[in-house]
Amino acid sequence: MTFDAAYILVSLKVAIRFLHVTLLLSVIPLAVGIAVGTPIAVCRKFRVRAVSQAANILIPVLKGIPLVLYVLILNFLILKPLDRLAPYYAWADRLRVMDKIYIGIAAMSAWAAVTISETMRSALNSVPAGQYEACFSVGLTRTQALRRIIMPQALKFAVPVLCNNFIGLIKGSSIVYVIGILDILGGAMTSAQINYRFLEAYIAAALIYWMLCLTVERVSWRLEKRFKLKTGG
Amino acid sequence: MGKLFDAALVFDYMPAILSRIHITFLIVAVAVAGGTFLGLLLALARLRRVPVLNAAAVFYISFVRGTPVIIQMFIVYYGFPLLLGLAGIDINRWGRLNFVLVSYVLNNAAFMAEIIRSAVASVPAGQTEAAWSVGLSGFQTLRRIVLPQAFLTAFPAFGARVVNAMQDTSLAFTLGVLDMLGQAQAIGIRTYHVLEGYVVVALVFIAASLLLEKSFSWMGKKLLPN
Repeated sequence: MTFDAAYILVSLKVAIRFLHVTLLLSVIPLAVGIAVGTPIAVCRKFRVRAVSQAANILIPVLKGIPLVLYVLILNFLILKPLDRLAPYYAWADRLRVMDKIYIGIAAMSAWAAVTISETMRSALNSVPAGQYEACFSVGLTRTQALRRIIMPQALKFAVPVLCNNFIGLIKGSSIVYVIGILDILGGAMTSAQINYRFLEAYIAAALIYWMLCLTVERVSWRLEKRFKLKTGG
Repeated sequence: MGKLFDAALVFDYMPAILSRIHITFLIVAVAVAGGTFLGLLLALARLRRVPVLNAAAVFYISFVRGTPVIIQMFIVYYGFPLLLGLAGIDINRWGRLNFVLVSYVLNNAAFMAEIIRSAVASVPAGQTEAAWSVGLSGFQTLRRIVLPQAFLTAFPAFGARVVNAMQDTSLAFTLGVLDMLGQAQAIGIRTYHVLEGYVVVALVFIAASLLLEKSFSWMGKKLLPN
């Protein structure tokens, strides 16, 4: 079969309708990742007992697991127990058509929490130790020090990396197609199932992801510039 | 259907899954070696501002970094035979692993190019000028003066990239390559116990990631004492 660029446009039109799925699968995990990852990083920085010890062991271990395994394992863990209850409550049909996007969001969020906790940890470490000592020497509590002195400085380091993490989440979200969620990639593939124009469909999907990532990159540059202006460095 | 998770099966499946680990190693080795070589060429095109090649490299690197590796793999799988078909080369009988290797080399080339480019750019211009002033040629300057210094700067990023490349190989099974994850799924289809297989694969990836990270940070300390 020859290559027909016109079909890219056909696939683009179908795939773009699933843009919101990809955005849900990356924006919510980003928010969850920041909300869960930051406290973990803070606990590790201040060596909060139990939490920091557990995180010191768990985070490097969880970081070693590829995203696709998060998706596959969570898909199994969430669906299988429900599958067993299904006969008792006549759920079988409902399970089959269940929207798996929640599983995708859960898996992406777990992965994001691990990744972003590492981002925040290196951001906290990027603030010189003297800053922490100065805070405590003038009698600020940990919370005060974090909120007023440390975080504003750490953010300058964290924002570009967080944008990178966000790009990683957007690209990574395409993996959920292995459990049958229709996102941009899945949507593009449905358009190819009618006419077997798979190459054109994948190129269309790639173009959408590319544009998304370029947009985030632009925003990242803007934010970086603003932070530089604010802190004068 | 038995229990949801049977820990004993983890040990039962381990040998069969570990027997496919060489596929993962092969992909990582080829991807990193080929990616570094191609990346160096791309980086040179950008650093020297070779007229058309520079723009092409910018475009290529941006595309690869802005799209999921899984889609790149499919584009190579469907597009590469067409492209080579134009040149009269028939690769329709190629195994799927070859397409995976090609796509991971192409993918890593873009990341390596950026790592190399920023590392080379970080070497002070005075170094190049000094090399020229004592009469070294352009290639000699690059090989003897600039690249050794750039290598030290690039090393941590390079190590991180290798770990990422290894984790990315977990997607090869989507193209039907029988790597560890492919084997776990094959076992799952046969026995209805898929979770145990996934756990084995996860354990292997955890061990390999930790091992790679530790050895890279150890090497990094040897290379950069301060």
